[in-house]
Amino acid sequence: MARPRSACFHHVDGVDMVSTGRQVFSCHVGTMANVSIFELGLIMGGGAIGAAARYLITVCQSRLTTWPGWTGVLAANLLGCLIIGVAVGSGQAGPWTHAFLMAGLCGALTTMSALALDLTVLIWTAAWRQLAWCIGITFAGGIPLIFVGQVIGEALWGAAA
Amino acid sequence: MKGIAITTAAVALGGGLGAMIRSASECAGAALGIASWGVVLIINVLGCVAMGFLFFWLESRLRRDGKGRLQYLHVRHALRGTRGIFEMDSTLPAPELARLHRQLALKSGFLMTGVLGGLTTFSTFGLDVVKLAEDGRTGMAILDIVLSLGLGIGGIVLGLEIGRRTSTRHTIQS
Repeated sequence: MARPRSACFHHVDGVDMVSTGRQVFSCHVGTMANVSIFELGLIMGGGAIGAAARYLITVCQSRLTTWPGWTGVLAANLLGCLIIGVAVGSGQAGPWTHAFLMAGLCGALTTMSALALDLTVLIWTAAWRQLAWCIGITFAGGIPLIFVGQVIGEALWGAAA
Repeated sequence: MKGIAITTAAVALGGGLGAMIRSASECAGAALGIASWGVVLIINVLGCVAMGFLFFWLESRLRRDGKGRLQYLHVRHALRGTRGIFEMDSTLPAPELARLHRQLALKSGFLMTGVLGGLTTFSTFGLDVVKLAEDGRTGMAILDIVLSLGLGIGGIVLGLEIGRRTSTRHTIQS
């Protein structure tokens, strides 16, 4: 069976699942009862590492550069998009990829709430040029980076998966 | 460095909780038959409302060093009743200012950077947009982007307003 682009295969409860990288674990049957403690632990662990990495990126940005404050969250969002693209492109199955890397690490490394707060402050301070750069780089940079990550992931691991 | 290490630990703990709540919400959304991109949109918007509220709530109670972002806003007139609370409080002794600053860093690190940062996500949103585009549903992908951006900012404003309304009495009395 031909594998669709950006799809991951994984085997859960005796059923071969085809997901698009969004069904992160075995909750496809619609109940939390099927999410194992192990998977929850992986999501929590990945989320902890991702959030801590985002915080440290913003600390480094504020201490080492004179760039505006929103560039820290921007860097974390772009990095997370690249990593999740690589994860999807690799075609790797299993909880470490889906729960730890994608749902946990990438999910917590990137954030929408801090981005929206930064955008709101930029609007209220009438920093229109910075607002345009922030929105432009985040959306026009982040989403294509997922494609780039997929290509990298397919090139590095796709053939082996 | 010690302060950064403690805050990083608080952020990590909050991030783990936030990621777990998001994943559980995705499962609940899938069980209710809501499209995955819709679930992420709802989570992100609710997270933005909470972020706006917590931002105002924490800043109005713990910010006394005059370095908060709210005081630079052009809508300060909308913050009537709480105006001035974010500015430098020269009546407080230095140790008290330092204590409040540590509390603010720890609480905002755990709740805002950690829990809400881990709850809301940009990468999963981006992956949903890519998936919609690959499925030929370009209009839906654009709608997802527009709604996420618009409702996200709207959510922050709503959260700030809720924070202002619930903080006014506290601020006037303090």
